[in-house]
Amino acid sequence: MRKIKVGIGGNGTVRIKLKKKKEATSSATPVMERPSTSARGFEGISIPSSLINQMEIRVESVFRPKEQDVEVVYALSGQDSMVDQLHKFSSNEVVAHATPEMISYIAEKMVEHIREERTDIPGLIIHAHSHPSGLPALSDVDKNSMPEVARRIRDIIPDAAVLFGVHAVSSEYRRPRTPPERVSDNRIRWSSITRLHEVAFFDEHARPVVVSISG
Amino acid sequence: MVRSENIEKLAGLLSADEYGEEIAEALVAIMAEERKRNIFVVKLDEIKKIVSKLDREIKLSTLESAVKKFIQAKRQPLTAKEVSEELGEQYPSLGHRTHSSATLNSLVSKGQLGKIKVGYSVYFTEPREAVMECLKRRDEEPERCSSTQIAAETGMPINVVLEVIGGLL
Repeated sequence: MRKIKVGIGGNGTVRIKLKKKKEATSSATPVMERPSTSARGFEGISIPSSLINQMEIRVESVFRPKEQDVEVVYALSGQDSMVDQLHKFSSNEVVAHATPEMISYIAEKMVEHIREERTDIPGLIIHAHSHPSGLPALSDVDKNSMPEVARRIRDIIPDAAVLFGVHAVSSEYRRPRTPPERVSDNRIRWSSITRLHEVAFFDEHARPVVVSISG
Repeated sequence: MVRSENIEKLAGLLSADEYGEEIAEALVAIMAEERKRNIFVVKLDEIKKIVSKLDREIKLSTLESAVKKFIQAKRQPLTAKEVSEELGEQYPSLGHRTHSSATLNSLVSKGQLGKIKVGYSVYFTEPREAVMECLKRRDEEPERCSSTQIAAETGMPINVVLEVIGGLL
């Protein structure tokens, strides 16, 4: 059982955090698969399974019965190749418009939000968006906009590695949960009790980035 | 003024607690007004009863163990009707929907399963799945959520809900 500390969050909510942070990355960290290199020489990324739970919650939480599924945008951040935090953007300041086919957002506000939520300046930022009932593949619009989004993020955090994620999620039906697994160099897949999830990672030039699941 | 040992202990615990200041602030606001203070004392007595049960070993009947194992193996939410249909042959009493429903609800109150309501149907599933589904519906995240509401919606004890949320962080 993980030890937690609960604080008053206001508006009927509580703030919950782990009582003791896990030891910093060491040789004892149970990394299942060590990332190799991607096309651009980036070491690849490692995502803890607890963060995959949060990715699932984030993407599925926008779905409402009898309403069309809409795209959602979120970010992952961390240091070096290790992702350690998910950032949810629901404010109108960041997300201007969302439909089943597209989502528009303001990259600068997104970075501002990430910096407010972190205690350090992230060395890695992964900008992810969902494809409801779609594939974990980049659209032409995605490919065209990624270099510009990466540039705008690096204008604010010059040393950050900026990557992109496409989170495909199936339509809803009851199914057995399956744990996250790597299905190709840059893709992970798992199933919740209602939807199949598949996330692919790319650099700003649409080249695949190697991903692994840790913890 | 000489303070009693317990009051000293409370002050020490609050001082040492990461959230001690905000807990103290909330307590001061409640204790300063008699009407609120009275409600707080009543609720405190309820909480005392809940926490006194925390360390007790949870005992499951043979049927409860069988149903729990069955739902875990399925890895997906099931209704009482589905449990009746699948286990009724092996355990004839579970063939009656009212009995399977009572067994499932007993497992929920013991924190061994959780409930998810979809339309008019109630599904029973593992605690982790029930909490995750509840977070999704409420558009909340594990770090900041309405844990008491989640406990009410899933039917599970608050300590189980907090444990599950800890596992999601």
